[in-house]
Amino acid sequence: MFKTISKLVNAFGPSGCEKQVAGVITNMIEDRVDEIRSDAMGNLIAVKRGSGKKIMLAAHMDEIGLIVTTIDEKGFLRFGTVGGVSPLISLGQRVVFENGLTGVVWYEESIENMKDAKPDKMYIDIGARSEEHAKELVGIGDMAVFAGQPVGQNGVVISKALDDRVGCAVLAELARRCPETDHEIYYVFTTQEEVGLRGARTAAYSIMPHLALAIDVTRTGDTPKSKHGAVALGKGPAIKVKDNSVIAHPKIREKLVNCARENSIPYQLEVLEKGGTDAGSIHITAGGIPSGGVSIPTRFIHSTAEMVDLKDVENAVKLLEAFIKR
Amino acid sequence: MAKALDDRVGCVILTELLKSRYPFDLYGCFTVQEEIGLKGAKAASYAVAPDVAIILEGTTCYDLTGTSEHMMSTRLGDGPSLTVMDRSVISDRDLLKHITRTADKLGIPWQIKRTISGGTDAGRIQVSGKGVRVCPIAVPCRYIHTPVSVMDKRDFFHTLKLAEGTLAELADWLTGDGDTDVKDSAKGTAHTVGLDQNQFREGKSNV
Repeated sequence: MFKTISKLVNAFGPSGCEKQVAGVITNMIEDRVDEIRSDAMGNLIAVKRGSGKKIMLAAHMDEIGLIVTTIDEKGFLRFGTVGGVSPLISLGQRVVFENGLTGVVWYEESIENMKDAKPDKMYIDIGARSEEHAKELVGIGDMAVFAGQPVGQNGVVISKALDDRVGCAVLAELARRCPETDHEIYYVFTTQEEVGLRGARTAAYSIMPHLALAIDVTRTGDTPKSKHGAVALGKGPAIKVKDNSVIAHPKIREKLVNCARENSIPYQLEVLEKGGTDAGSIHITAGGIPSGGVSIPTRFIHSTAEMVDLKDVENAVKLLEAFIKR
Repeated sequence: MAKALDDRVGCVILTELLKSRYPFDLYGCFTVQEEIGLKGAKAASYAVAPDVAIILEGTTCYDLTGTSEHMMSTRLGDGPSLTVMDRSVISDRDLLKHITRTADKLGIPWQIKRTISGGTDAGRIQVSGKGVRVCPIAVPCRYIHTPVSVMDKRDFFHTLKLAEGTLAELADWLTGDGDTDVKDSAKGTAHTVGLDQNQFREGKSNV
């Protein structure tokens, strides 16, 4: 599982530029599904045919990033944020562009209070000698993501972009195990979640599933003085009750809980006060689609070093397997 | 110099575009209620269900004295403004590439809008129905949302020429579509030739 996650987090994929991730996933699962296609928004939709209900499982491929807005006369890059990037977390970090170019994020040093360090007072330094030199390397509108290799130790994974490549890994692994079921399963790898749950909306509209689950990360409350509720790392996948974008359909929630209990899979209940998932746009698509979610407890979300527990990931796969068999 | 260049300038360009014939269905949509929340476009895009939408706009231009370079959204006279990303949309990369290639081929200057604030109906159209490939092309307008907007005639004519050029080569681009590098995964994508030519205005600009 660590290998699968590694391949996925290493792919470059800020919102709107998810093709590399889609390519990696296609290679992983294309021999295990009946059909695989992409749509106008870039969503990757893999189908395992069946005669029963249409079940949509969604994990988003995009990660947060930075976008170049201006190249100044000395070759420094000004940027805007793609998705929920914290300026303070970005400071001093390495970022990498699709062509492999690395940059450092820094701030205008006239800033005295670091609370004023907003993206428009910050820049990316790629070591360019001049504006012209910089323009040979990168263009306005190019996106960069946090750099860094994933680490596996003590049963946890530390990496950028676990939000939501770990969800992609869960779905890819599930597709590879080919669970026996009469239902028609849509493994949907969505785009542009981080900028407003956009890809999932059009995917849901074209599939019109009977029900949908979003597989995403959720915050934990188990770190020193955390305010983020009861979910803890390593205590099982979290079955979504609500977040800021959706209230899970009670029957889906109930069914997930029953699946976990009957199969002795540890689980937690997720009540997330901030943040949303693809289920938020799926459940109000067309005439309404009953939706829920299975979330991987994750520390330090939207940082360069997010952390998940591999047991939670494995148990999420088991829980979904049990769910779609019923 | 006039009021309401945002977005009557787009209306004019669209009127011109409708005078030509194309090898696909062209829907010219003059939308309503953009300024109060991108409303008309949402309804129109479900009705038309296009494959591609090009959004013609008057966009914010903030190239004034005292503004740092990176806060200048666009610059007057530097050519049509193309949007990679704003608050409402991330444009289709391949369509954007097609437009910039067309511009380079025709010798038309172009600029990428530098600020990522503001929104356009591209955002609503993109996520309508099964999804639409979108990209805005805009004429930079100073003092937008005031009683006197100012645009550069050269930008206007360049925008018109670029929109014409983009449409002229669009059929080839749609059928060729050599930009998809996801292994085989585009095979289910519907590339039936058809086009929705929408025209909208800038919503909440950063002016």
